[in-house]
Amino acid sequence: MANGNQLLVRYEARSTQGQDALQHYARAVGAMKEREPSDPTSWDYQAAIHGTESNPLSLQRQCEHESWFFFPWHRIYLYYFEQIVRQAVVDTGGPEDWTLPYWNYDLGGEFAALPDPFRQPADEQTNPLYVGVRRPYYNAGGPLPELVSTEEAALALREFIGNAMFGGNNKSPHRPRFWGQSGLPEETPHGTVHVQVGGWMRNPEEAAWDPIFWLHHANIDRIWAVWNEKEGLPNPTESGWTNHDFSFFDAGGSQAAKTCGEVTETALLGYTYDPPPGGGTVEEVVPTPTEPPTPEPGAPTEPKFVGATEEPIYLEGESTNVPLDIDPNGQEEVQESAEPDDPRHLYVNVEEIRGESTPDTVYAMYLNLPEDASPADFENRYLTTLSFFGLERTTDPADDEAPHGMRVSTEVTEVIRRLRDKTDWDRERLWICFRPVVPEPSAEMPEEARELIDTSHASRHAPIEIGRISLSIDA
Amino acid sequence: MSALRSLGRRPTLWVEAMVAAAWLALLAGEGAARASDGSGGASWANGPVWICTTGLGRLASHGTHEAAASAPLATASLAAGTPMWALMAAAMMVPTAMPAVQHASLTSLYWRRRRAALEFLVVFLGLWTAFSVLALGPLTTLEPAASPFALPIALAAAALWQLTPLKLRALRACHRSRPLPPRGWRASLGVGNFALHNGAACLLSCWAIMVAAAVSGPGRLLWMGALTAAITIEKLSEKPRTACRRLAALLGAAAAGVAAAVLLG
Repeated sequence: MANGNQLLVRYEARSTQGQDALQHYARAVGAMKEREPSDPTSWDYQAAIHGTESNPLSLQRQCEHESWFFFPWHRIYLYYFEQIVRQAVVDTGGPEDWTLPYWNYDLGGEFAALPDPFRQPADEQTNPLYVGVRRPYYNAGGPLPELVSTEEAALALREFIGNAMFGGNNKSPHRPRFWGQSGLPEETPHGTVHVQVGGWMRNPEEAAWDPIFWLHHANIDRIWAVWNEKEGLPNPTESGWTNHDFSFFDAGGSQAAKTCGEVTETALLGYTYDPPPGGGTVEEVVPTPTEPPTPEPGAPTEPKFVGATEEPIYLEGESTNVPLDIDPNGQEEVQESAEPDDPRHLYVNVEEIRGESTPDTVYAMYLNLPEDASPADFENRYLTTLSFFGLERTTDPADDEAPHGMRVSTEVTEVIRRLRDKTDWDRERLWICFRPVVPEPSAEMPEEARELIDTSHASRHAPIEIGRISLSIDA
Repeated sequence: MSALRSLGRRPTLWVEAMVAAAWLALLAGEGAARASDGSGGASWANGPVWICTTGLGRLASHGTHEAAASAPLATASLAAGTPMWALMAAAMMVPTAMPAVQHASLTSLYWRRRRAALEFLVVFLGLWTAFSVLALGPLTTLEPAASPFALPIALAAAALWQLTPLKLRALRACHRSRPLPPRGWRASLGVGNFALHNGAACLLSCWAIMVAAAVSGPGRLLWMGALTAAITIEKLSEKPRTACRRLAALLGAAAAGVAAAVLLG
């Protein structure tokens, strides 16, 4: 699975190479599950590095979410995990160039369903990749809804640093915040896929025990590489990001560390994806020497808030419409910011999200969605999909973490511009609409999955409280 | 120039200026105290007494230098004492609350940012000042507070408090915010509610350290500066338990050091 330039290649799970890799993966996972939980190369230990509800051992419960470390931490995590699995693959007679496949659900159709080896045989005793507590619809081969699996909005983002940007915001002790700092892809598709698959995947403390976790995160890692290499967009150059390191265990069970600056490209870690994130063929991909980053000084600008809701909002599995009044002092500026040549951007911020646990339901968020919305309305007024993944950890951190509120921000400039152009626009008030995302039955999906849609998506609507929804303009 | 412009636009710049002014006033008060007693050092337990009876306190009470320098807190008028405790709270506690002040200000509607910061500070400082007047003031007039062992005992007690679950809970609560409604009395109430919860958590987290600062005696400004820095770092830390324990160790070491210095003369 190496290319001509000695880069290892990660393949899509349904490709021929991916299917072959999955067979070895299943055997290796089985072998790792046999190891003592205190062994850093065991399945239990590796999973607990992401999160655990038990007392954490060395380097456990370390996952980085809601900050600009989300992408690099998970890339390094997968890199060392892949080495450990590869060693187990070799030990069980597999190839030395084994790589972790990725699950590209964005391709839609059958690709949006769990790859077969994770579902069949449906027996945890004989199939190390099967997990019975997943949402039954997905174990029956149902595909993820497009609003959950899409990478389109993530790849449309132009900057890494920021709440509504690609990579999340600066996490620095010198810039404390009262809310999480996740980038948009951390919510969709990352969080939404976690919550939709359900079971262990729904909870950061259990997610990595599900073998599909690793293929999901390989896909998230690929999306980062595509954003960098195909879209040509840069990673942070701040020393607080590039020099920050994270420690894991290598295949020999020894501690090893890498800085974020050392993992800015997959080729620097000796692997690429098929198809290559930057385009072309796998054979053409070569490792490129990394340039020393140049620090970029400059204080980040704070957004200007121009409107907000007055009362908390509660989501309990039903569609909900919420009015957001724009303050009279800000209405003109909102109008101006939506002009095509205006450099400012408008954001809707879902703030102070609280709840006892992550609900099974994910919600699509729309702007000014009419009662009798047409398919075009749903498309043109869509803002983002909310998963609330990791809610438990933000509101009640069990380990040595500072608590913080959960917050999701998404840009709405284009949607407001479209509405204004159609004169479907009230300058004094926006309506924020939440709709539970439920898969649409289709003839292509397995019959068993079709029958399970309703029961699988009505199982647990843990109530969510949203303290405030605001409208802001970047400076 | 753009950096200066950016600095000038900061809605919380006046709060930072207020903190700086509070420290300058404390420095001036220290200078006045040294000038009035000639020795450069008041008695061990005179920290708050000095604050209440020199500098601005003296102006407020219209007393003589001699009377002011030696008058106990009980005899200082409440009108003179309260501003001085507020000064101490502004200098020591507001820096630790700057993230909360900025949060209240920057997430309020753009045109009420400065007002939101003011509303937050009124409640936050009101809470601390009330605690200081009602608890620290009487405490520092007690006979044991005049003992040279008052400071090491207060530091040791603060170190022990650092290790309690209640302290950790309070420190974590300092990181929580509240929804801020956008307009009218609801907005003011929302900021006030946030300040009340944040201030109460701050009070529960830091009261023992403030007691140590209040009985610090000679070198009091150095003690106050060091303790302010320590509390600020602790409150900014992303790992509250680790920060708590480290500060406990520091306070314990400081208690031992001061006690040794007192014993050795």
